[in-house]
Amino acid sequence: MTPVVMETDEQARNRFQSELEFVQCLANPNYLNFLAQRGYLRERPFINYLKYLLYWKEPEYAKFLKYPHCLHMLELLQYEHFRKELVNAQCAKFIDEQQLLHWQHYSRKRTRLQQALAEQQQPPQQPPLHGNTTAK
Amino acid sequence: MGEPQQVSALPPPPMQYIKEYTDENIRKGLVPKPPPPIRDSYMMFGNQFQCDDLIIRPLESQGIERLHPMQFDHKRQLKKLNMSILVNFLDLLDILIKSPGSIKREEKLEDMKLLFVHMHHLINEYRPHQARETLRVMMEVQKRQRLETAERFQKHLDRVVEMIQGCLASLPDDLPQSDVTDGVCVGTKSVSAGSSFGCSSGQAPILKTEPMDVEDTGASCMAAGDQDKNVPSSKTDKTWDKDAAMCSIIDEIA
Repeated sequence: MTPVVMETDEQARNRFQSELEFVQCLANPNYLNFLAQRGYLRERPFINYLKYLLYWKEPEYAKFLKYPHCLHMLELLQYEHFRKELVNAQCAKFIDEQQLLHWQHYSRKRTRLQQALAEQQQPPQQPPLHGNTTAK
Repeated sequence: MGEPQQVSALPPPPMQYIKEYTDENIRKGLVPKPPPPIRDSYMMFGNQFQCDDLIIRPLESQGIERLHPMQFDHKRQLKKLNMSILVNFLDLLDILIKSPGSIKREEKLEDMKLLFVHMHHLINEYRPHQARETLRVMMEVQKRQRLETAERFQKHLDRVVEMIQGCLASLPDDLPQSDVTDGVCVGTKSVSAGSSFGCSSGQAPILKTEPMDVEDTGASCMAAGDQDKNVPSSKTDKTWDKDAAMCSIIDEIA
């Protein structure tokens, strides 16, 4: 309704920090459930806002994020089907569990991936260990 | 996780910004652009952050005594720390047996705490390395997937080309002449208006010098069929019939 006037530096800073926090809240499936149950996820401006928030995927913004799962959720939130499902507490719980399982098993899965990759590369040469100073 | 939903404890979304993003405002281009990234210090969830914060802060900056030299080998240092913790634990047991109430017990506990902090810190110093490595593996996997996809596409393409050539070859030579060419006449005319060679099968085919119309599937079929066959006119007529038949089939499909 109000025409957009140029923000002052202070306002821009505040908005940056608010949006930084809000976008990261999206990493929490219980919060998504809360938003869905309050009916936010059905409101047009809110959906538009979610689209606008995709700017957090840009490198110069993404480096501020401490909870990177939020970007994945943000992408999923662009789909109506996902937004609708979130009203269901079961759905939020399922996502929550999957996140925990991911953290639990990821390093093992990655090791397996790495091994598969090493086997695929024909000459089984050992990649040099980076960052490991051999100086004694 | 299992606790009952306490939604009221969660913060509300920033409605003061959200309300700007109405369909109408977006249409009019009135919505604010993303704020510029902050370059100095900022607050996040009640904590102060600095943009140039080191990912792993050195122990000294946290007021913790540093036990290892500036230049060191992580692996050896970690092994040494592990050993020290074991020895200190044995010392602690000794103290507990001999004089459980003495001040030495507290000191030992402090020592062990410091050793654990160091160990944890040295492991943390590997974090950036770990992150880089994770990215590397992720990108390798993506690269492999892309190569595989490209390969699959290539195979499909080869198979389709083969199929089309097979179809062309297997078309009968003795197709009823008149009605087929009539059909093609209509088809080709709409495709390439200038070259109406399709109608007059008796005429010497000058199609080889004609620029082929490759926009249409039918036309590109003809091109493929004709270009690799530099044959005398009697044989060209035969291929020409096949092409005509092919075109009429495609016209029917379309």
